[in-house]
Amino acid sequence: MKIIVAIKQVAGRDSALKANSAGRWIDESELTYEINEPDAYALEAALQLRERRGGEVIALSAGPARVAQALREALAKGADRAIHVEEDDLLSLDSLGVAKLLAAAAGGEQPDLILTGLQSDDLGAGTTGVMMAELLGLPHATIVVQVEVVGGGLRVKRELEGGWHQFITMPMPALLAIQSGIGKLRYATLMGIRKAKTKEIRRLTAAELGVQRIGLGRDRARLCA
Amino acid sequence: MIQGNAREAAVRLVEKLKFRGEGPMSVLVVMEQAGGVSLETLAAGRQLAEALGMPVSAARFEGTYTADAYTAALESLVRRTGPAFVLFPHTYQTRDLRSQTRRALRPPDGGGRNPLPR
Repeated sequence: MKIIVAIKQVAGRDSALKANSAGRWIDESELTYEINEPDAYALEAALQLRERRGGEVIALSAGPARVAQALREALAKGADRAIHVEEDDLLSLDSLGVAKLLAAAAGGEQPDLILTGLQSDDLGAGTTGVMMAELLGLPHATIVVQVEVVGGGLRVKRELEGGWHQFITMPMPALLAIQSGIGKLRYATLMGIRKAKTKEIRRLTAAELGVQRIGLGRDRARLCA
Repeated sequence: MIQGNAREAAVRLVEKLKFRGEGPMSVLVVMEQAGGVSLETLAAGRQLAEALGMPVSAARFEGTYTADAYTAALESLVRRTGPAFVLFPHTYQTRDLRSQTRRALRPPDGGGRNPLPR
């Protein structure tokens, strides 16, 4: 089973958040970074599935050079290899723009399953994973708290509002947006950290993926265009 | 409250659309149920519309939710009425709905750029 886990690197919880001089975003000069928490749970779910079913776990992230640190951490925890989509100015893209980069990179791998956290701790839009699935033409489920492989498909438990849950079966390949708490997060072992140094991080650019950067001048922001 | 940079960004976006000769613009609020966060979304929609000098309308679905059916209906509504902004309550259900609708309505050149200046 080939599983891709889409990971976002976000500002760490203990970072000092100050507005930048333009007053439009946070000052990034003194930030520490970490793996977005729901994405860490998505990785955990992927590693547990691999332990039960065999196969390969590929960590995928888009962003500037610092993102390699988050991918190294995923490799240290047990991911087999990683893909880094290089994008220096992630905030120049909206969620759809990021989803296009990730979908292009993931699609090239023909995975059986794509996992991602249900939302990011920084922007919290909770939309990138669903749009990835839509762009790839894959079935998806959000707010997933349990995953089982049954036959050639999946049995998934989703969290609903008001304490309700929903069980659904779905075919593979599929994309699941994972809720925090799906399993107990593992720590990277010393051996894992050492091994991570020899694992592959493949670097790709938007151009190499065939995804065009689109300037606002040509972008028709009006939805009905 | 729609104020400060968010308001400024929205005004700039609207100026850009006006400059390009788009027709009359409005704000559409998607209501999920008859209370709670949907009403808060409607209040935000009214504030946004007021700040921008636009009319605001609300849409509510009848019938059992499935993401694909609601997306198809909403896509059709947006294409027909052409709002400048569509607001959703941040609920479990709209995780699917707003994401799928956004993707379905992407412009012919693909979209994906953040329209809000930093």
